[in-house]
Amino acid sequence: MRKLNIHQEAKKVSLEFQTRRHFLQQCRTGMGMLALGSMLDGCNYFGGDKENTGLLNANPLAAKASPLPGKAKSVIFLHMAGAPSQLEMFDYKPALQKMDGMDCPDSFLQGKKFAFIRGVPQLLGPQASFKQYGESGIWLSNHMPYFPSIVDDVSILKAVSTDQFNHAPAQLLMHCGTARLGRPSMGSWVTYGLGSENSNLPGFVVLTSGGRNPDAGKSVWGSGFLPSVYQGVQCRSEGDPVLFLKDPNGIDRDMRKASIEAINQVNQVAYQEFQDPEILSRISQYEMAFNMQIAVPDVMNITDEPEYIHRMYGTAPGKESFANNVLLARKLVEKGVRFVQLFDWGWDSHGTDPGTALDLGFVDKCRQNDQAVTALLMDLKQRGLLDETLVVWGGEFGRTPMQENRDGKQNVFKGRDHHSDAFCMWMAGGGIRKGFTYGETDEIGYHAVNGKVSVFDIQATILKQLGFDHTAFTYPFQGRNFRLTDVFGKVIEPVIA
Amino acid sequence: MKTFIAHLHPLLVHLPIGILLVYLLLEYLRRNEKYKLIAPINTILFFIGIGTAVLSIITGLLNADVSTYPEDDIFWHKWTAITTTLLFTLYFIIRNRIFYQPVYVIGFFILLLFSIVATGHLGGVLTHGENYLSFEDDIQPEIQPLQIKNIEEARVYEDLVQYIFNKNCISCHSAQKQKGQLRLDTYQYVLTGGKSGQIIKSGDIGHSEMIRRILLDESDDKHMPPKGKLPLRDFEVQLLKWWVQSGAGNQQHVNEMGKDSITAMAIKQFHQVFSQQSAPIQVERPVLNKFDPAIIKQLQSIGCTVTPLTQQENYYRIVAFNAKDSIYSVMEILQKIAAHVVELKLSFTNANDSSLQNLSKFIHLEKLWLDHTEVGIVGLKNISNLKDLKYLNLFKTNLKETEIASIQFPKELQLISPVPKDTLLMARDSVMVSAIKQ
Repeated sequence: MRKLNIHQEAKKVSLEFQTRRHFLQQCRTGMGMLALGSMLDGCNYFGGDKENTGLLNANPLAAKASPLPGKAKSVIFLHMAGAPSQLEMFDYKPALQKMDGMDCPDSFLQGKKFAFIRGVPQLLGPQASFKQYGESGIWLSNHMPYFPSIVDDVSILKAVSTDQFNHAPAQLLMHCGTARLGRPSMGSWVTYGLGSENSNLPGFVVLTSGGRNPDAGKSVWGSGFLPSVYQGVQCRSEGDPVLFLKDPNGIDRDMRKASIEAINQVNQVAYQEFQDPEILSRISQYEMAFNMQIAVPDVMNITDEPEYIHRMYGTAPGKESFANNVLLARKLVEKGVRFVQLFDWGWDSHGTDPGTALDLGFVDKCRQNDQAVTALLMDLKQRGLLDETLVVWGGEFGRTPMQENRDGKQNVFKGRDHHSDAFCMWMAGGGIRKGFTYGETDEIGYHAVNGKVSVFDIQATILKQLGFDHTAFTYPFQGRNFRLTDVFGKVIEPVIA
Repeated sequence: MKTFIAHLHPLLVHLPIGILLVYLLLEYLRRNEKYKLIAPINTILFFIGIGTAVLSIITGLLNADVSTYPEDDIFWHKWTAITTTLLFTLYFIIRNRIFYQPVYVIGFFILLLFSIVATGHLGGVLTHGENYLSFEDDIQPEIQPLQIKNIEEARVYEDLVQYIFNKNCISCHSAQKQKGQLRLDTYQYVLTGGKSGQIIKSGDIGHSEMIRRILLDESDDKHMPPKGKLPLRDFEVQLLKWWVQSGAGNQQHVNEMGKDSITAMAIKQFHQVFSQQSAPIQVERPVLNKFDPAIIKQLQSIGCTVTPLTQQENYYRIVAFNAKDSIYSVMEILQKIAAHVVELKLSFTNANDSSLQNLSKFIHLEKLWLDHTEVGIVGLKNISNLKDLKYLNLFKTNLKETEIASIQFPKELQLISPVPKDTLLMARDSVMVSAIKQ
């Protein structure tokens, strides 16, 4: 090669930054890799599940087959927001009764954080009496007089644990698999995975019993990074079931139909041009909203239920109540709704006022809850729906065996603080074992002794019953696949029949 | 440090095996004039082979000292290893120094080959167990269902404890294999214990090694049963605790021993879970050909939801909520794919007797929902041909009990009767009476 003088060399280097030849020379590997990447379908080439991208389907809510055979087709999740006290409902601790009023041993307090308890609290014995019921001999408190008649149909988990001791994060963890905002809720995941069997109704319905909404807000039924089609539709049991669904004044149904058809034609043209699947999902949303105008008020109306049903559930039409919502949940599931999420409130029994006292307000809550929930299971059973409907009941955490001493002073009423180490939940139907308890806590119900399960385990089990492997059910977002259970969770095999 | 060196044994042993086998092969080839030049290389190979063999023996002896393998099994492995090494040395000396006669050499080859394979195999048996190398495909040991009618009369050790041992423990602790020098296949062995002494102190669960190991955290290396083996269920642990606590005898019957409520429940659960042979519910359906996808489109267009049952098979679940008023056309279309329909939900539709007239074509139908419809006895008669039918929902239909009773249903059909049971019974009082008295 001819030797260059310094001037020529400088010129060559500067040209190297400009010429096309040099550019192509330098980036052929990079370009090649980019091309190869797109030919191999990005990172999805190895093990990516193309069918799971959802959006490719014209109707995002079309019913889909579950990847594995699943026993349950729908879920009713009864969430007692505020966290009911397991020690007054399911977890019988006679030893705690004997230790009532004693100072809590130091070993339980060391390194622990409580929401309100400060210093050394005193142990509080169970504020209920317990008996064994049914074939299965499950312990239940006297606050639930109806529950014994269905106790042989449920599996009680006695040692559920969470790692959050405040309502909002704990609720998020329970429903979205993380204590922080931004992830899709369980109902969204399920409707995303299975679609809906009734195109005239939303696939994921949320009902709250009036009063307060859950502390975590609407995020507990949000769709996170999943397409917003899958977010929970909150239906009200009073007034219009779904807001903004009714035709505006002066516009009748024909007019509405005509305008929706016109909009959809425009959308169809746009779809022909851009082939964006989101346009298709928008078209189907318009159509569904139109159908829902008839179907939703119909299914949300409980006045035409026979008298014996009302007596059974303890419902009073026209009011916002948990019982009404439970009855609605049954009606929705009967009509093919995939996931019904109920939130009740008022379970936060701190003992700061009569409403949150374990021997006053809490007892009322138990009674209301007990009748409706028992009726739900019986009703599902007699309608032959319990085999395909998974019912889950629980709060976001449990309550301490100690009496709450807010700011170091004993509360006026009997109450307990938030407790994350061990609490009770139950599941029934949808292929769950009947008349079974799983897990055990220590003598005072503080720690799990065996059969400890986490919130992720519950989620994994619910998904399993619906026909999903929770480790394989993913959605790609921001460069990686996300799961409801993140990197945790183990199916609770013992409670599966 | 000693343990570390000892644990190098499983790594090192592969070197002499491989090298000495190659040595043998080359030694065989060397007899041929063509390969004569191999000789000096083979000498090197021999020394490397023997060197690593000696190292393996040293680490092996250390390993025998620190590990928990049964003395008997180690004995044969140890001596075959030493013999093999000596035989190779002997061969080397004879071959090169003293004399060379082809007949002896061939005989020696076979002997050496045999001894090296035997040594390796015996070592493998130690680490992987006797049944690891087997021509049989791996079969999970079948759990025999309990043959006990009345659990109260069962023998605590024989029927409960030994049953649990057989199910969860003896794959590693029995005549075939004694991890930790422990056997749990008979009562005598259980009492004898293993390498770390007795595993049971009767009446004292706190000082019983077996219970301690069982209760350890699952992530603990010493937890029993170890990771990957069938874990013990809570009620089984409770039964074992109870048995040790109450003396760990082998004579008592369940009803002779005192028990608290938790144990009573554990016993009950134990009986429930293991008495029934859990037959896997695997539905075998014939493979069907695909059909024209336009049929599905057609069904969807009139409001039906069509879901494939699984992602592979050509079987479907049809839900007709939104085809309420066009059940006639739904059934007309469905006829074309009748064999593919496994679940059919006509709930809340205007289905009636005439809609069901061709039902007998749906030969694979397993679940049928006719609740909240006008279906009567005439239509229902078409069901009797459906052999696979497992679930029939007639809730809120106008059928009478006597009419239903007149129809021959397939065996094991789950029938949801039309008349709502009088659920007013919610009878708090009657429930309270049935409560178990404490």
